[in-house]
Amino acid sequence: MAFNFSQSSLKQFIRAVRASKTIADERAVIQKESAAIRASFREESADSSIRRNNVAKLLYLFTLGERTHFGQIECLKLLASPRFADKRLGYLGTMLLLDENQEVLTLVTNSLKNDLNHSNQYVVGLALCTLGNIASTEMARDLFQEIESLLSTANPYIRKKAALCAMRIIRKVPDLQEHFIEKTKLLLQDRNHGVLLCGLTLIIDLCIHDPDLVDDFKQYTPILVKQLKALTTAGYAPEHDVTGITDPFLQVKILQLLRVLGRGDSGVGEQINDILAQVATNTDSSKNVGNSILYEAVLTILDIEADSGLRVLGINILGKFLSNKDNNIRYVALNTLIKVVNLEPNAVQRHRNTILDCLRDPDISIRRRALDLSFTLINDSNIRVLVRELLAFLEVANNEFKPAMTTQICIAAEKFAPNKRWHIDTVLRVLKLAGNFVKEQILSSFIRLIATSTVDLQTYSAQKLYSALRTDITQEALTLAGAWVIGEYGDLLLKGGAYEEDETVQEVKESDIVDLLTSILDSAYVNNVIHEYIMTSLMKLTTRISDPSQVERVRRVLTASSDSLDVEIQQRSVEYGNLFGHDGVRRGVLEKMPPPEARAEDRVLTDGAPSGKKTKIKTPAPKPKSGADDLLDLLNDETPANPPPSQANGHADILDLFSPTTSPQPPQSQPAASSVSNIMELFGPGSSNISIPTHSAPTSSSLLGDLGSTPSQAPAPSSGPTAHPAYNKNNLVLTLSLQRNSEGIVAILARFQNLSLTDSMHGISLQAAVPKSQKLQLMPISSTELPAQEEATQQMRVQGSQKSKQSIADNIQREARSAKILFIWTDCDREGEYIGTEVRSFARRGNASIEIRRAQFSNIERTHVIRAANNPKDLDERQALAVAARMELDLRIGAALTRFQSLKLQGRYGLPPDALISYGSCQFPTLGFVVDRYMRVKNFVPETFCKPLPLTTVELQKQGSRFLGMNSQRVMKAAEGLYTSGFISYPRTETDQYDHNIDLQALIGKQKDDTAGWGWGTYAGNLLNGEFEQPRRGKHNDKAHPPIHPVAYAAASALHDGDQRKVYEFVVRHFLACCSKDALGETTTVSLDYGNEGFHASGLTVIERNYLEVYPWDRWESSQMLPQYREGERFVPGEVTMNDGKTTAPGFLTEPELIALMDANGIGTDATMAEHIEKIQVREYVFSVAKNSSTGAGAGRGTGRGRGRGRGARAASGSTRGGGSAGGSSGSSSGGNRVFVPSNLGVALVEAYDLIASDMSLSKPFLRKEMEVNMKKICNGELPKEHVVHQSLDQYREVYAKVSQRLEMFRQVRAPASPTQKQLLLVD
Amino acid sequence: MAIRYIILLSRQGKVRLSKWFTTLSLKEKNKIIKEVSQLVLSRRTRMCNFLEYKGRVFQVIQLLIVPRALTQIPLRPADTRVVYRRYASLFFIAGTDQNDNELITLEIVHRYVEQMDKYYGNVCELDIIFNFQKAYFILDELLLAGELQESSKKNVLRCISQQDSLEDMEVEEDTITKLMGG
Repeated sequence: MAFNFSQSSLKQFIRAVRASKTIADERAVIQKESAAIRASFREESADSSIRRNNVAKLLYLFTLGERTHFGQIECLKLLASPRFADKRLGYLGTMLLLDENQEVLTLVTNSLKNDLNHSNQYVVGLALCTLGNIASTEMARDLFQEIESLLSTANPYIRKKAALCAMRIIRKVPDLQEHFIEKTKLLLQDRNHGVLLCGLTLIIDLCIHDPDLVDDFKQYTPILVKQLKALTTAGYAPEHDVTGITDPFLQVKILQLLRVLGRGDSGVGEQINDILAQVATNTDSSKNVGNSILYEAVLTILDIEADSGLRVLGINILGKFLSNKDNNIRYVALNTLIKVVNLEPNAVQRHRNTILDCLRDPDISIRRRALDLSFTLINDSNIRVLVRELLAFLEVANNEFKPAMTTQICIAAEKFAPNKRWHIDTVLRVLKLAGNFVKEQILSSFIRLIATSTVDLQTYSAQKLYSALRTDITQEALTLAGAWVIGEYGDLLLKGGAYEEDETVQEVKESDIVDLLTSILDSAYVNNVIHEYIMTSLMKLTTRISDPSQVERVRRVLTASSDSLDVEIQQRSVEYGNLFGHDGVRRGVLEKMPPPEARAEDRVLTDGAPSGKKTKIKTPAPKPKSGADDLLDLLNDETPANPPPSQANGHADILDLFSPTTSPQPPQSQPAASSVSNIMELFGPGSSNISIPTHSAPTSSSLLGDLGSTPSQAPAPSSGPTAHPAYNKNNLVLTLSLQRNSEGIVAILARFQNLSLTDSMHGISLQAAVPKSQKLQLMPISSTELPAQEEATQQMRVQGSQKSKQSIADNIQREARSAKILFIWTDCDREGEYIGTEVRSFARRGNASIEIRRAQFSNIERTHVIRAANNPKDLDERQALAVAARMELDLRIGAALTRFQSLKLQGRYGLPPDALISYGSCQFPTLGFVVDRYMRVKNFVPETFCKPLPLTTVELQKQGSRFLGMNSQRVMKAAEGLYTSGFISYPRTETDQYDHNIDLQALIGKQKDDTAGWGWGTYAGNLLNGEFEQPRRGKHNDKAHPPIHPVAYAAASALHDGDQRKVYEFVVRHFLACCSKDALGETTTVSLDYGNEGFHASGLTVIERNYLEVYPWDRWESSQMLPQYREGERFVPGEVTMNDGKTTAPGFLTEPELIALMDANGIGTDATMAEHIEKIQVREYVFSVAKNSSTGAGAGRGTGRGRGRGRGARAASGSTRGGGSAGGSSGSSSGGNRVFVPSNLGVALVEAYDLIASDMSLSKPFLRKEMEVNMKKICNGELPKEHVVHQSLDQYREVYAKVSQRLEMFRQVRAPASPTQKQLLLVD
Repeated sequence: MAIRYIILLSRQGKVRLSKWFTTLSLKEKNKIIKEVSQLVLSRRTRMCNFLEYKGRVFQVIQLLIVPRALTQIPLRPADTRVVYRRYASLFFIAGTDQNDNELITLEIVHRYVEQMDKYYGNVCELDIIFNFQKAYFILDELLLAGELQESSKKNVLRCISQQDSLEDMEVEEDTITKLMGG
């Protein structure tokens, strides 16, 4: 066996591919093997088993979607081999790797010719199979004679394949069909099912491609009928039985051919009516197989000239299909009904309701079919009903359906509208429901519709659009239509009057109209097109209103855009502004437009408009086509109105305070819901009394938004709007009144009152947030200036989103109705429990008595899952409560602080004035970690090492035990002895600052004469000679005693008691240290390149020891003493060892490190950590940069400036070591890892919080960690949820109060210099 | 009027077998595999086994504006229907013409699975991965030019096993020749 060494077997190859852990590994394996196969091909081995092995591997590559062209020739070589194994694989490879377009395929023709005449039927079969699948035109011509003769061989195995092969040949070369027709007819009488099946297939294909042949085959109708009859009445035939039905494949084929033959021929129709009726009535419809035959029969019945009774039968079968539970059957029914709706419109109409039901099916395939079908059903008589249903569907449809739906509904409305009023109402509804998905043509045809209507209808339209816009300005097409109609028919709108029987609309004042249009211009939903429409609308209004002050107002609004960056808007602004100077012309120009004339060429809005009025179409009317293109371009530019920023943390259910359905939970089942009522009053102790931190400037009233913008609870709808006080301070009163309208929209009116008698307020703005599941429309405030005793108002509208998760909830509710037990299989963690309770609450709404069980599982291994199913548990209420608590806290805290930060910092640090500076209780600690590391990495050279604070009793006791090895009792006893002896001051004191009057120099002077005993005489002398420095001042003063200090000199020999001696020494040395200068040191970082490796080492050099000279207990040194180097110096290492090390100098924080920190501090869960990290990047608090580009990395380290001071020297020392000490010179790889560097904003935020509330800073993980601990306590039943919420809120409120009190500090924090400035520092 | 392609796809989206009855470039094939895989893998269990792939919206609008009889609906070549069914860890996916009988296509797919089950003996995904040639051989005895060629349950497997034994005989002959020749 000459088995090549480079050859691996197919199995080995497959295993290697499957064992690849990464895509890169897999590619490597594949490429290596491809190369090996090519190399092996070049060697031209005589052993066909090698070639087979190679080709088999090649086929595996093909399955993987790889390029395999280089192996095509090898397949051909293989199939030319006399061995069957070679042929079999060779033909398989040829079929898979080659197709008719490959040149090399012609090389097969000869082999095929030989094999078609082979004595072994399987060799012939392989050749036929190949020819039938991939024959090219040339091959068809070359080999058709062989196929023709094989068609009449005695061997059915060959005959059936030859039939399908003939099909391929005739498709390739239709001229060849005459050679086959006669032999084909014989196939119809074949007794072998396979041959008959293939023969039928061939004939169907022939007839479809050449309808002239149909007549030729009609004579065989009786034979076909007989065969079908035999199949349907046959007893059990195991070989062809499929669940009790004999050869459904053959039955379907016969039905297909009957359809082809019977189409349009009543004679054939008559012959087959009976058998069709028989199939349609006798076929078992309980299984898919039976239905596949029924389906085919129905298609045939509906397609031929069947008698009417049979047709009804067919339609009824489809009706039955429609109500089948199996989605497949329903899909097929819908699909078929679409095909027959034109033939049997009435029969299909009967199933209208079922079809409309399918619009709500969860399966998109079904919904699509149902939607398509619904549109085909529309006619004059049902237009009202169907459009109503379709509009209802439009309301809940996915966005992907909307563009087509709006078009279809409007086209149908135009086609079948019973009257104009209905037509207008319908389009109006479309605009309201999906105004952001309406095509330009629809909009223009709507406007044309109104323009061609009666004055009454124009009034009606103007009124309707006016009131629609007053409730919703977020739907673009609605806004556009409204703007046009209100501008054009403003006079009618003002004149008022009701249309027909309608209730009278409210009187509209001139100022109301201008208010509405300008408010849209000021809103966030305006885009250029809307802007242009409204400008034109306002301009028209100047001739339709009479109040000169309103005209003047319009003029101001219009000219305000004269500096718009958009050319069109600017041009309009300037032109319209000029038009005011020519009053006579203005009236003429702005007259009403004559109704458009032609309908056919009216794609463009302004077609046939003779006046000089400008609309947004720039292309002249004679080129409607390009004009339309232009319009579409404009529309494409549109961006859907941005929803206002909302807090992502919120959960629909918790925040859904506007929906009355949320509150009446089953009382026992959902204790979590009890606190829903006051959830939004962040930090507010009561339900309406909201505490607002004071702020200095009463004029800057924006702070009021911090807590109370959303009131507690909607009042009962019947009670009418009640005003809820939300804020009352600094002479500003804000009340909110809520009103829920019939469509579930909550309108909130915010009323601002300035109580001051003299001062006016300015720059008022209100901010509000809603959870993602709701939509907030914040209308502009009526005035941002509030003179004394004046009022301003602002409208908000909150709407629960139709989609979001509502459909899931509905589904649960619906399914629960018909269920006894609900088994909850959510993840077995806290969040899972919580979701479980949510599911339960919805299930109970659908079925109050449903039994709820919960599966406890940790993996989805089979036995485990079964065990979990057998041992159901109850939901863990406590865990759910803990999650509810956390969500509530996250939302309340996040909303308050985000608002606060955003308002305070907008416009600073280069932030845009509308920047969102979010706060999240996980987000910020995450940022804190990054900034903390950044601050450490920043290099401070030299750094100061702080001398100790003046000595207090507590400190004496602590240090006594640490340095002197004495317990506190002994220390105090000795100190008291010293005190009574008059050597030291009173040893019981809390003061750690020296009074300014105390003469420290004199006290030092008493020690300077010590020469031998203690050894500090010289040092004290030096202090007096200029080294003295005022001691640091601690924070404590008991106003009774000074810090402990020596009052007289005691020679060492004079103190006999060992304890007293030690304590005295400590007191004096401590005192002298207090009066000394801080020590100075430098950290040195050496970075050197050796070969390709980079090395870093850090060491500390103390430059000036200062107090350390006299205070031996403080040690400040690093484990590493470094020689002195100069930058760029080369040196030859004496010894080089390469140790595997894990430590590298800490650079900026890498993601793994950050995650480890978050994990250790309980920030986020494994599921959300990445989200938090992502969030702080999105907010641009930190940036992720390549490790190499951050030159400061590993450069040096020190304590954060300004933080260590207050805590004494020890703390500082500790943090130095904690942050630093990279042990030794370990190799640091310069890999492509990414690290996080905070932005100026990020640093500023963290510094601000650290500075303001150093012990409880929001950037530190403590508060969050505590919250996590409390959550655990809720889970264990140790604490009630409310308690935890209040406790946490109290803590955050404290910080909030501090932050807002020290607002200026918050603002003044300066962002540090860019992180890239820090360079590697080498010390000479 | 026929099956255009058969793809066997694992739940992880790996192709285990692909057979094409229409002429397409490698690029086109890979595109179809990618898009159809995404469609199929995103389906839930109780949804129907049929999907439309490409070119749907235009057809509907056409239907509405210019009503046509059922036989006259022009089909764009890209319009196919995807019929799929999941068996254990494998999706069996068949691309068919728009007006094929979807239900009988499901039965054809099922027949293929049945035959493999009998041939491999309780077929599982690994059988098909490591012995994919056999899976192709069975398919080639079942379908030709995208059409079912054999409706008998016995015939397909009988042909396969006879061909297998032809191969075995050749191996035996080799061994004997080698023994005789030394």
